[in-house]
Amino acid sequence: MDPLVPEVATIRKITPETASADVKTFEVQPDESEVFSYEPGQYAMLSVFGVGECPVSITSTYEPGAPLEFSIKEVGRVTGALHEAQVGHKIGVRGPYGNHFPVKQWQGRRLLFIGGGIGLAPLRSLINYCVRSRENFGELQLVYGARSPKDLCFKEELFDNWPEVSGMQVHLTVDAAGDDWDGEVALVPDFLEELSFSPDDTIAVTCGPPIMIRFTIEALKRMGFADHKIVTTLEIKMQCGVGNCGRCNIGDKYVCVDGPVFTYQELSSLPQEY
Amino acid sequence: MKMAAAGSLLPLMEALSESNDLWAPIVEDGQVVFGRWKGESLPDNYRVTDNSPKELLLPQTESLMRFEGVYDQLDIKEEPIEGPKVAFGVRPCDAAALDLIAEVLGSDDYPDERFGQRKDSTTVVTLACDEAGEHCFCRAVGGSPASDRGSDIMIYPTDEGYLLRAVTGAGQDILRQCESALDPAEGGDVESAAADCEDIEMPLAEEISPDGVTEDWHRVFESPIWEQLAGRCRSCGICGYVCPTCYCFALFDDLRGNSGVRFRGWDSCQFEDYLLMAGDHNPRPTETERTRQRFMHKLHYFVSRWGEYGCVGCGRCADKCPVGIHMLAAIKELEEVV
Ligand code: FES
Repeated sequence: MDPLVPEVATIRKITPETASADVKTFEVQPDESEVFSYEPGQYAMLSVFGVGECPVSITSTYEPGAPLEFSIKEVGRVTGALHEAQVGHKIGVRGPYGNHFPVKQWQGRRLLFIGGGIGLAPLRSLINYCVRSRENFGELQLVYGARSPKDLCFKEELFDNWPEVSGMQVHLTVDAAGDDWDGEVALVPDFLEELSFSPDDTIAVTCGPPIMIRFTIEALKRMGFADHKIVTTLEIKMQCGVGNCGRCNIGDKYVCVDGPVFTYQELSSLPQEY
Repeated sequence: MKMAAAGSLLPLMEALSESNDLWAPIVEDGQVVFGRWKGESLPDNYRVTDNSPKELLLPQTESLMRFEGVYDQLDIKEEPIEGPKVAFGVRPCDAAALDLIAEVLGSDDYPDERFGQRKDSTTVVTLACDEAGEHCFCRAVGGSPASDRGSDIMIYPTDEGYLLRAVTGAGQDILRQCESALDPAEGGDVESAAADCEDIEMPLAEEISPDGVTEDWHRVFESPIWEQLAGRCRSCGICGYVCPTCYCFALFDDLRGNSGVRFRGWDSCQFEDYLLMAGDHNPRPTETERTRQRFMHKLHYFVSRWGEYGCVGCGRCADKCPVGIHMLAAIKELEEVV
């Protein structure tokens, strides 16, 4: 079968993540085959037939028999059409694509996750991977922020599940809040610096809006993190997802196959065209 | 070894067309284009066709699949691929370009099936060049007017006639089919015929060389030449359409009622919306970044990925760009800045 032809899959469940439902999590099950196995950080191409395709990071963590989960923010044509879809509707899925977080190499390390908004989607796959094989990793820290309390995604995990994990701490912040919020009000990079983590034996993984990533990297560097210990994911327009269509290059790297996961050291040697 | 009589490849083409879908340079509206053969001799003195034969393997637009339904009851059907073809009178640069595209589209991880099947089922009969055109520079980018790269059969023009050499098994099979249209080449010396083509004068290839121009690519990337070069660009995309090595494509859906088609079609990095993303973010917002992308891709990114230039020196971009922004101009500018 041509790698560009997707498999038909059924939407099993839709969960609004934010109060305005501009982010929804879709549980998806391929109709004809088992869910492919995948690693944290990989993505899939999702299609709405008649509308088109777009790359979406897989937010679930692979487990045989479990459905795929995608958390999608409504930002354009295809994500808009996905947001109109209902439970039972059919979409196209192909993947998994791209590299992934090098979880095997990170065994025994401490991990610092820094997310903003929907940027928690790829991190969630990684965090739950680490939580599941908890004994393989050192201390886990999550710093996560959104525009307002209503915009925090994955609330059950943020408030109930992850804080209960031994050796894991969750630090939440919002850009702005009313009386309903007694937590931190600060931008993610500022809050991160205030919390100040030691770079010793620690990998920092950050996903979120480009502007947040930029300031987060600056803050991490001030905290003493080396470039190769700062890891992020890139988003760029894609067509094929398999390195064939030429769309997604940044210099001589193709985000679809060489990424989306890059260290800051790798990014520094690429043109700033993303 | 076989030979076709001087001055006429027509009997060979007729014989080939008997049991093959034959494509060749033809004249259409006064232009020499690569198209389905209509029974005529090769056009006189054509250098390269206006369009490149890449479209036999990667059509300008093709449907990948058909589907019924949008959100419901989808029935996906992959579009079947056309039968085998013989591409005749291909120039060595264009034949090599098919191989370059195959590096990308045929690479191991996710080989493009449609391209791969067409590549396997297309027999390439290449006519070596006995004269270089105004904008030819294949030798400057590692090619040759006698190169057999990407070819199944080579045809070398000589004063006595055309000498034919099968390069691959598929080429041999095809030659056998049309033996009746050929003469035995008694005493024909294919090596010296190839050497004669190899040695034709190609002034541009002496004049320009991309070797080393992107060595310090950070500096080249930041150079003001891109802005100067891009100043007149109309983002028309003709460079990519005529380029035999440009392979970038887009996927798009067309929906009529409840049935639809997913097409793939050529795209060009020179178009403004090529990298325009949802939320209006564009990493290459002006002609400057887009022009730079085009030349950096061919002269540096392709080299670092595949070990050779992503340009075969056919000169079509120089022939066709309405405002003179082409590979020759770029190489000249780059030679000056390094
Ligand atoms: S999306 Fe096609 S090459 Fe990366």
